[in-house]
Amino acid sequence: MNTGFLYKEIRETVKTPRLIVITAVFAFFAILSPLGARYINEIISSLGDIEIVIPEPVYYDAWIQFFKNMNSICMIVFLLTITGSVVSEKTRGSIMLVLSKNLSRMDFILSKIIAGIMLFTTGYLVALVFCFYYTYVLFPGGKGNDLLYALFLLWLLGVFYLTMGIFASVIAKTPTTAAILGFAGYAVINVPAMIPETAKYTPGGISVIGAQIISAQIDISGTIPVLVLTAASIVVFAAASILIFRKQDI
Amino acid sequence: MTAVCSKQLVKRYKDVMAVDGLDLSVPKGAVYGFLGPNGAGKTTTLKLLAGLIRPTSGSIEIFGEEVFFGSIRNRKDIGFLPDVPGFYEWMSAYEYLDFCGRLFSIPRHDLEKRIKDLLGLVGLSDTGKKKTGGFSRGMKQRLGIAQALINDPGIVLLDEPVSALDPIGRKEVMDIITELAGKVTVFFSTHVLADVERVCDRVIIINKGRAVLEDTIGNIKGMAPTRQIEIELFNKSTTSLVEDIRRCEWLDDMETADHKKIKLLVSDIERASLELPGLIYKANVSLKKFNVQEPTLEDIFIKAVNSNQ
Repeated sequence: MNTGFLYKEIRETVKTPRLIVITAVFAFFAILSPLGARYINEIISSLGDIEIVIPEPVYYDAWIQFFKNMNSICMIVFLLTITGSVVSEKTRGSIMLVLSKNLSRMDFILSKIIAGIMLFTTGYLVALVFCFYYTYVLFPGGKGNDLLYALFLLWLLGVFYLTMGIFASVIAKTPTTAAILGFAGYAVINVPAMIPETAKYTPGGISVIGAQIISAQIDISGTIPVLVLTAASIVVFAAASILIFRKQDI
Repeated sequence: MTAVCSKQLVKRYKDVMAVDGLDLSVPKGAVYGFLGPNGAGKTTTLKLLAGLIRPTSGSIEIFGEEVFFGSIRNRKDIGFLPDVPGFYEWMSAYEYLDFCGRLFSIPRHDLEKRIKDLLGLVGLSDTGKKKTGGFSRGMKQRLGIAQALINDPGIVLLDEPVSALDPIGRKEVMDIITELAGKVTVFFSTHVLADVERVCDRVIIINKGRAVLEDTIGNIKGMAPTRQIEIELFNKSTTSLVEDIRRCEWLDDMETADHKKIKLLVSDIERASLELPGLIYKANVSLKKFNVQEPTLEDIFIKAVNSNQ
């Protein structure tokens, strides 16, 4: 593999606002999750004379909130960042310069995917540090069921959005179209996630299933369909991106 | 040896035939001008040669090795500058060339020297840490030429390298191309004909994706014999001179805008040049200017393109 382009992608992530934006958004919602879970009763009470009885929050409520936040704003911001990655190189003309060098089209896409995984993983790890810390402080002594496995599934969901975003970026003619396609993809996989029966058959269901895992409502064997489906979708989107990109006129 | 050879090259986009059976033969070491009006298929041809777009049919060889769409096999031999080069705005000129060198896996020590030499060649040595996002168009084009040369290619393909530049920027880029002559094969498209006349050994004129003329500059100019003479006089009363000229056998056409300026289209330039001074003397008029006009490449270009319409 030609590592020169991957090196550029990594440097670009650091030199442009991309890394700061992703890390800041992820960290913000990671902090907000345990805080929101812990003080939800107080927040509702402060709204006025509303009489809503919510059970006393527990340790895993913080993580359930984290799953919800990550699969909404955080993933959308990440997805929109990724959807511009290939198409913007086409529209600004930089792609012609790099593809006329000793760089194969497969290496071009693979570099984008690897750099995207590194970006997501960095933001995700920072988010986890904050979420673990605030959850530990606000819910001392708590323990979630199979938390690490649930967090791995959430990471896999991030990689899924990454490959879906790259695919949208490969097939789109403008950054706006790519963003619309990416958002449409997000909607398509999240609608079945709202229905309990279909949630485990769509990558979007990971946020629901992750919450069920840590609250011990489902065991790991019940998550195999969503795990396999998400992993397979990642491979399919990555392969399709490479195959289509190899045939495109630049 | 031939640097570029294409045979019956065709590129069709749905209903548009961008390149239509183009045969190219660019000799190694030549500075080869690629001319044509807008939409003639110049950019498409250059992208085909660079392996960036897939030909509908036909073949391309660079230094005897076939070019396959999307393959990186010929990349070491080619340098390419598109018409609007896009750089990563957060990089300096040095960083961009370093990035390009890495794509070719050029050893570190060689790369540093190469970058230094190229920045010197294109006059960007003093840009330091300035980001390419702040570069002028001329600076971007010069950096574009440098990146095309980073791998020490046998041929550089330049797409309209001067068309968007002001006269100073144009001169700077043309000076660089002149410096490359003899060291590397240069194949560049343009519609600035004065530049072609200045630096090119050979030219090809294409229209509607087809070659309409291909030869050396000298031969092409020789194809159109000199036939035009311009006379400018001090006197207003030149009626008798005009009448005398009208009776000459060698006269094909005459334009007399205000009797002070006379434009002649002649069939025998030598005879006309010999007899005209006598006629002017006989008519007792004072001569201000006598100009035998050489055909310009522009005249030939327009004629070649129009005859292919």
